[in-house]
Order: sequence, then structure tokens, then C-alpha cells
Amino acid sequence: MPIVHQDVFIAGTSVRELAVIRNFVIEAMNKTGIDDSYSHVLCLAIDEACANIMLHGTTNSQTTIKILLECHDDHCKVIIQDNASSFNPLTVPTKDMDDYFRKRDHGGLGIEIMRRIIDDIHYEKSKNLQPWNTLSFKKFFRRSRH
Amino acid sequence: MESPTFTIDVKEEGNVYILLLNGYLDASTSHILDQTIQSIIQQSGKKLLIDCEHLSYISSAGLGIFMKHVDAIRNALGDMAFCTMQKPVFTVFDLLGFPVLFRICDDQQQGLQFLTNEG
Repeated sequence: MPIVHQDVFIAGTSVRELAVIRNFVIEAMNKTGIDDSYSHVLCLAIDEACANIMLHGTTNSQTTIKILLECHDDHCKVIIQDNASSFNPLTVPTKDMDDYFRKRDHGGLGIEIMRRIIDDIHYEKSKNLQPWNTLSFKKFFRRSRH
Repeated sequence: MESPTFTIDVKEEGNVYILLLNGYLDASTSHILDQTIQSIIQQSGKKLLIDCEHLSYISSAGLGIFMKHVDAIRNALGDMAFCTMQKPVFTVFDLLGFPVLFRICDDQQQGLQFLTNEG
């Protein structure tokens, strides 16, 4: 399927970069003419993925996060690569929100949000010596749940 | 309290603290909300109305702060309610079922009425 639009952004791992990443996504989406509610959902998914790396991955000044955004006819695909410590976010169990509220838990909702707003999600750890993590996901235009 | 992308103004209306959130509430700014609510609890504030009219964005980090403080507030026989929530923010609240736990009112007046009637 042909790529309609493609953008790449490389960010550091300070949480302050989240605003910059958000701007990158919004500007890229503006170029495609996709509606604001779709852009918001994509922004949120990327924000949650990047915040997880920033807050929970072991990082240093050399650690970077590379975001590749590809828009196709019926979906956008996001590939997020980082060289922080390896962690597969998909190993985090799905949350039972009733149980979560009962226990008054207050963390770990980022992955749950991602699972609920995006379509296909995959994680791959580099097989080379370089410890690159790759998280990729798609968000379809018409099959959106939100 | 201020950050480049998120600010909170606090005003008091009777015994209700109204928090006017402005901007983007994410992992880089959620500490501002955390400190503000903590400070209100320390001043024995029990009723908080979170006005989201100018809140453009919320991620899980922001939701986590409300969860963190809800018990302390309710154990003191207080409560936390929300009002004037914009659609992108409500979408995130609704996605995870937060309206089950928190009252979301149409406007400040309704929020104040709800918190005042709670005792």
C-alpha cells in the first residue's frame, strides 16, 4: 500500500521532550489533512509509548528515541525505536479497571490506553548487539474505536 | 505554579477549591498538579472542583495524579469533581471508565452544587 506521507523525528529522553514530540505529530498530521480527533489519538499513543521509555527505561545522554510516522490510504503506522534498556511493554497484563479503581491503584495506565486506542501493536528487540527496541503500531481511519 | 505548557490557577468558592487547569497535562507536567493537590490537602481542603475548560490534553500521567489523591480526600469526607471538560480530555477519561469513579459536571455551577450538596 503506497505511503501518502512520511515523517521522522529524533528525540532525547527527557520528559520535557514530550511537548516537542507532540508538536511533531500534530504538524505531520496537519500536512495530511487528517481530522483533529484522529491526530489526538495518535498523539496520545505516541506520548504514552515515549513516556514509558523516558520514565521506565534505563537511559543516558546517548539514548535517543526515533519516531517514524507513515500515513497510508486507510491508516497511519508508527515505528518507535529507542536504545534504552530492553523492555517489552506488551508483557504488562491487561488491566481490569474495576479492580484498578477498587484498589485505588495510580500507575501503569499508559500501556492500557495504548491497547485501547490503537489497532495492531508489536514489539521487537534487536537481535544485534545494539540494544534497539522497536515498538510499532497502526491506527486505521475508519475502524477507529475512539 | 507554572510550566511552559501547563498552569493551574486556584480559587476558593466557599469551602470548595476550584482548580483551573490550563494546557497540557502529561508526564512532564503532572508533578505540578500533584504538588497543587497535595498543598490543598495539607491546608485541610476537602472539596476540589477540577475545571478542565482550558485543559487541552491529558495522558495517563495526569489520570494517575487524581487516583493518587482520591482516597485521602474521600477519607476526610471530601470529594473531587470535574467540570467543563473538552471532548479530547473526556475521551481519555471515558476510555478507561473514570466517569464511574468521578462526577463530571457540565459547568462550574453544577460542580459547585454537587460538592456543596455532598455535606
